[in-house]
Order: sequence, then C-alpha cells, then structure tokens
Amino acid sequence: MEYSNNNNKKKTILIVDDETDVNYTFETVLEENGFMVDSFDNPVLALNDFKAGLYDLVLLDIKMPEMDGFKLYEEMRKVDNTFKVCFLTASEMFYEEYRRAYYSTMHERYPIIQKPVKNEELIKQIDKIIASSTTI
Amino acid sequence: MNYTRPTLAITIEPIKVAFNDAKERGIKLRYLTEISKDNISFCKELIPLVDELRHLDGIKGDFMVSESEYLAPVILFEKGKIASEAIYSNQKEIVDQHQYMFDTLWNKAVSAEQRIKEIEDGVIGQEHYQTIFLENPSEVSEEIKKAINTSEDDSWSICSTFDGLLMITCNKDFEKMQGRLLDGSKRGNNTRWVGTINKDNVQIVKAYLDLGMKIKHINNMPPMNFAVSSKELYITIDEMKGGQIAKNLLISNEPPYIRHYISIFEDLWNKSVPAKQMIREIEEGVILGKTEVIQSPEDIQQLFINMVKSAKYEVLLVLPTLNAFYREERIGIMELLKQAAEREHRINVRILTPTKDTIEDKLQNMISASQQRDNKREEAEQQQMKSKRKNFDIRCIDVESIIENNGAVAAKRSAVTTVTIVVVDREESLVIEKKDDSKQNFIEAVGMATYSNSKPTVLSYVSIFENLWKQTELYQQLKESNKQLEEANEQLKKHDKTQKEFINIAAHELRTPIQPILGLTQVIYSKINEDESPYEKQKQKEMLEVVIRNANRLQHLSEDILDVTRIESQNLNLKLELLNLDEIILDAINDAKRSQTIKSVNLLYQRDKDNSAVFIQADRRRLYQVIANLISNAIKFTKEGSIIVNAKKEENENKVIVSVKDSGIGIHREVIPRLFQRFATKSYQGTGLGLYISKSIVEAHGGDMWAQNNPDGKGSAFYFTLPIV
Repeated sequence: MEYSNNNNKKKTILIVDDETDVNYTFETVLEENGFMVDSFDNPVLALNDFKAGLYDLVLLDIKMPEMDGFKLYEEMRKVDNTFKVCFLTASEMFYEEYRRAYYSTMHERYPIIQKPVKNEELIKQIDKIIASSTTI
Repeated sequence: MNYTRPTLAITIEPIKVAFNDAKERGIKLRYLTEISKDNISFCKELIPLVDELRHLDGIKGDFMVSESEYLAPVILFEKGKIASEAIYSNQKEIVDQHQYMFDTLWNKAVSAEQRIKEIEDGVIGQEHYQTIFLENPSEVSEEIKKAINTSEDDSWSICSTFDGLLMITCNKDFEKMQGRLLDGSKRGNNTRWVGTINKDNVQIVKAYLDLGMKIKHINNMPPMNFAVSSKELYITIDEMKGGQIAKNLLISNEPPYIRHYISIFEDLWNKSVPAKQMIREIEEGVILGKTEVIQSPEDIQQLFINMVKSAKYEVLLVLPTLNAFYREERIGIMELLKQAAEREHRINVRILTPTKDTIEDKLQNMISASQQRDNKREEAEQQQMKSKRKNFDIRCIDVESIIENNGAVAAKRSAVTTVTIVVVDREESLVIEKKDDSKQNFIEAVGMATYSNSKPTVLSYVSIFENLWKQTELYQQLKESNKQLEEANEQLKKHDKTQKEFINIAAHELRTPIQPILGLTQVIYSKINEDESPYEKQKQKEMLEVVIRNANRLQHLSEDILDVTRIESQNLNLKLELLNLDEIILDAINDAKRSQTIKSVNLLYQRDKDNSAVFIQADRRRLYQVIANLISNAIKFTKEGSIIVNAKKEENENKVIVSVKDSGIGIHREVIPRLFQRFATKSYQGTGLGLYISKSIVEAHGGDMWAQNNPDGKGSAFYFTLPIV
C-alpha cells in the first residue's frame, strides 16, 4: 500500500526516535512507501554520523535521553542547512512552551506530528513537507 | 491741699513763680490733692510745675511741710481765696509729725495720671478704681450690705463654700441680698454658684435650687471664695464655717481683676457637674464618679504607681510602644505588676504591647524567671503555680504585621497605640498620652492624662482592652491559618505539577505502544499473500481488521482518558484564537463524511437566515473535537434519515447556538439524567467519556451544553452555546 506520489527519485529520510519499536515501525512504513530511510535510536550517535546532503527530511522525536530533538536539530543545522525537518511527539503538546523556554534562538515554525499517527496521514504530511519550498 | 487749691497755684502768679523758682533750685515738690472734674484742667497744668502730683479722695485740710518748716493756711473751701492767716512752725517735732502725716497720705494716694484718665474715661464720676482689704468683721458686714444695696448688677458668679450661702441665709443683714439673688434668678439673670456639695450642705443647696438659683458641684475648690459681677469682685479666704460672717474681705472694682476672676469662674463652671446630679449621687448613694484631666507628668507618674499599688484583683495595661514598655519598667511599674500577680495569687495582670524581638525576649525572661521560682517550690504547689502564672499574661499587638497584611489598618495604628491605657479593678482608668516617644524618662515622654472612676468611661476602656486582647487571639489564629493555607497552596502547586507530569508521562506511555500496532498491522494488511486461497485471505483480513479496529479504539480511549484527567485536574488549557465557526463545522462535517459510512443518512449544515460569518474566540482543535463528537454520536445512533447541524446567532445575548439534530433512536430515558456524566453510555462502541469531555470544553469556553429528545418522537438534538466576539 503506497500513499506517496513522489516516485521520480527516491527521497531520503533520517528518523531519530529513542523508542526502538516506533523507529522500526516508521522505517518500515516509510520504506513500504518508497522512501530511503536511515534510523537511529540514539540522538548522539545520529549526530555523529550526520553529514551534509545525505537527507531530504529529518524526522526527530522531541523527548529523548541525552539530547532532545530541538537540540539535535540545532546541531544538525550547523552541518547542513538544506534538509527539511519534522518533529514527532507522543507527549503533551507543551513543546511550544518548552521550545520557547530553552531555544529562544529558534524563531521558525516547525511541523509536528503527534504519535500515534495513521500511515496514510503520516505519508500525506511527509509528502507535503518535502514538496514545500522552504527548508523546514 | 484740698480740691480748691490747685486752681490758685496756677492762677495766682506769685505762687506759680515760687514753684518754678523752687524747682530750678533742685527742690523736690510733692503735691497731694483731690483731683475732680472741677479742677482737672488746673491739675494738668500743675503736673509740669511739680515733681509729682497725686490724688487722694476727700482731702479736707491744707498744709505744706519742708525738711525744716511747717505752714498751714487757715482756710478751708473758699474758692479763689488766699488765706489771710497761717500757722507756722519750725519746731522739729511739729515738722516731723507733719512730714510723717504727709508720707502716710501720700502712700495712700494714686497718681494724677491715673486719676485724670479715670475722670476723662468717664468710668467713674465720683468713685475710682480701687482694691481694698477689710479685716474687721463689722466692716466686712457693712461693705457687703453696701454692695448689695448699691449694686445694679444682678448677674453674680459665685464660687464659694456653701457655708457662704448659709451666711447669707442666716444673717438678717443679708435678707436683701437673698432677695436680690433670687429675684435675679427669676428675672432670668445669671446668678451662678459653684461649690462642693456634700451631705452637710445638700439641704440648703436643694432649697436654693428649688428657688431657681443655678448651682453646680466641683470637687476641688480653689482655696478662696469669691463673688464677681461685671463691675465688682469680692474675695475672702475665710471659710465662713457654719454661716459665720467672713472675717476678711478683699473688694475690687479694677477691670483686670474682674476679668481674671470671671475667667476663673467660667473655667470652674465648665468643669463642674450639675447640682442635681451630685444631689442624686449623695441621696441615692449612686457613685457617678469623675473624669479629670491631669497635666503634670509628675502627678501622672505618682497616680499611675498608686493605682497599680491599690489594685485588688485586676490590672489591665495597654502599652503603645516598645519605648513605653522600657519607660514603665524603669519607673518600676513592671516590677509592681509582677509582685501584684504573685501576691497571694489574687491579682490578675494582663498587658498588651507591640511586639518586637527584644520585647519578646524580655517578656520571656520575666515569665521564665517566675517559672524558675515556681520550680523551686514544693511539688504540691506546682499545680497552683501553673494557674498562678496565668495571673500574669502578656500578649503582643502585632501591629507591624497587621499593617503588612493590610495597608488600610495603618491609619488605625496611631489611634490605638499613641496612649498608654491602664485600668485597675474595672473601677479606675488612666489614659496617658505620650508626647515624645524618643525620651527615656517617663516624665519627659508623657503629655497629659485623663483619669476616671466613672463607670461608663472605665468600662469602655475595659471593653477596648478586651477587644484588643481578643484581637491578638484572632490574629494568632489568622496567622496560623494563613500558614496552613500557604502550606496547602504549596501542596496544591506540588500536586498540580505532579498532575501535569502524570498527564505528560501517561500520554507518552499510552500513545507510544499504539503506533507500532497501528502502523505495522496496516503494512501487514497491505501485504496479505496473494497466493493464499480466497478463504484464507478473507480470514487474514478479518483478523487484521479486528486488530486495527481495536487499536483505533485503544487510541480513542487513551485520548479520552487523558482529556478527562486534564479536565479534572484543571489542566484543560485552551489556545484561544479568532475563528470562523462555519469553517470548523464544515471541516467536521466533511471529515465525518469521508471517514464514516453514512450512506443512508443525510448529513447537512444549515445556517439561520442571516448568513454573515460568526466569529468566536476558541481553541480550534478542541472546538473541532466537540462538533466531531456530536456528529459522530449522531451517526452512531441514526440508521437512516438526516442529521442537521445548525448555527443560530442570538444577537441579543451575544452568543451563537449550535445544534446537532438527528432522526435516530433518541436518548434512552434512563440515560438522560446522567447524559453528561462520565461513562454514561448505553452504546458498546464508545468510551462513555465523549459528552462529558465535550461539555467541559464548551464550559471552558464560557458556553453551555444540553440535549433533548425531539418532540416528534424521532431522534434527539444536542445544543451548545459559545460567546460571539
């Protein structure tokens, strides 16, 4: 069951989520839908391996041990300023306050997908983000 | 010289020349005569001719005396005539004798200037200002009689012992005075008498009172008796015991004296109490008491100490400041009070003072000192001691903190705390003003004081004290409950934080496991092996559909449970924004049409006649949730027919009513009363939380939600309101 319309060239996606099962699920669902996917369940390792120009989109869980999604995003941006980003969260939607409190330098607005998300909805959102003209 | 002579001294040139000649030689000329209206102009001319001119009433003889000679013209009152004969002597005895006589008369005389002024002012035709002192009872009697007979003034103000009244009453010579005094009263003239009324004189006072005299009572009489009218003043220091005629009398018509005594009288009159009140007190034994102002700090201090010493069972004390406490401790009041409390355990001492750390330490020391003493005593006495210690109780008027808590009290502060109040045995009160709180010395610090043993006054102070006393108790309680409230508040905050954390963790933990179930079953579903038999394929599909359906249900349930938790912990935070209601409703309707199977049901949106947009302040996601929930419920219970969503503005009430009306099975009778409570459902599909959550969301937006079965018996309608912007 493929929901994606992006068939010309396979888009690359990096997923970082400390929940291994969720990571595996998203990886599976996205690969089933024609994306090239790398996944990490450790944000520090993900950052170590991160290189410019590898990914069209980075999906980041917000709440992770050692380094949260926003921090990770900031660090990744220093390496590559072309990838698009989307955050994932299963927690309460306090992240706006949280982001404002800790990352006052981040002025952009980010797409955030609340987990659990149905496959159809996930693909729809990702297509939309990749197709958008801005970097985020 | 008699009154005819000054004329001659001016008109007869040789005399004038002789006077001038003598003056030039440096001789001192003293001229004594009676200055009258007739000779006043000549006397004025005489003044520069002589060294000094004096006046004496009624001079009859004429003589001149120098240091060595005596000369007396033999003539009396023939005007304009010079005596044809004269008596002359240079004998030392005669000269000395007449020098002495002259000096005696001279000393009794008044200065010409004064006399001339009196005549010219017209104050007295014949008489002049004078003050005389009589020491002979018969003269006194005569003078009083004369005063009564000649005085034109009926307005007498008298301050005297009532023996004076007795004197007037008992003495036949004064009958006329009696009459005049009383007539005066009857004619509305103002004869007033102030004196000390007691058991012995109460009868005569009553008699005159009945006759119309105005009488008042005063406790402290001045040490003399006086009567004053607008023109005359009579003073005696005699007590006139038993109505005896005064043995001495000072009489004056000099205005300064009269004014002075009138003012003394008015002062006394104002301070005194009406005679009737005093008579009642004496006859009925009612003690009305007195209230007086004490000006002297020394007297105040002495009275303060005496009062504390005289206490029989109770001393109440309010101290305005910390300094007042120290001052009173310095003059020994605190020690006296401690002794009083310890003395046979009888006297109850209570003190109210402002609180400061230092004073509290001090008080603590005082109390523990007496406690230590207690401990040394016998075991058997220990219990008694405990009750005894209660005899000495000190509480703090915690003024500062009251002000901190409530600025409005600040004004009251000065009213309560600028005076020292002491009440002894509920019979006497002393209120001491402080003039300068910075002074260490009691006498330097105090202003005046009011003493009272009048019951109403004293009891008022007792009640003030008791109220302040009680206030300290209440304040203590208030402080305690404030503390408890703060703690509870702290707990609540902690609880609130815990709640939020719980919701956050619960949300994460409930949602996360659903993701793999939902995501992967869908992937598996899409990968069902095409090689399997149709039966097997159907079987696998059915099984996966059950898993997916239940995963969806689990997702709904977790979201609903999280919502309920938010609502009940007051954590349902709305993100308000300006929204077009139509948009939200249409979104919900379209999404419902897309995701649910409603082939045989017609889902419509109707607007009222006025099609203008309805703007509201609302949380988009939450409002969508409410509408979607109502539509989803309607679909669930409606097999066929229509579901009509309607929005109607109520301009008058500034709100919009949204309704979702279906033609389904309606609401079960049993469910109606608890429709909006948790787990109210009769359905096996829902969580039973949807309506509870929806109503809570609407209420959080300032609206209301209700439902009813349709009057036509088909289906039900749900309504909710929202305020319009």
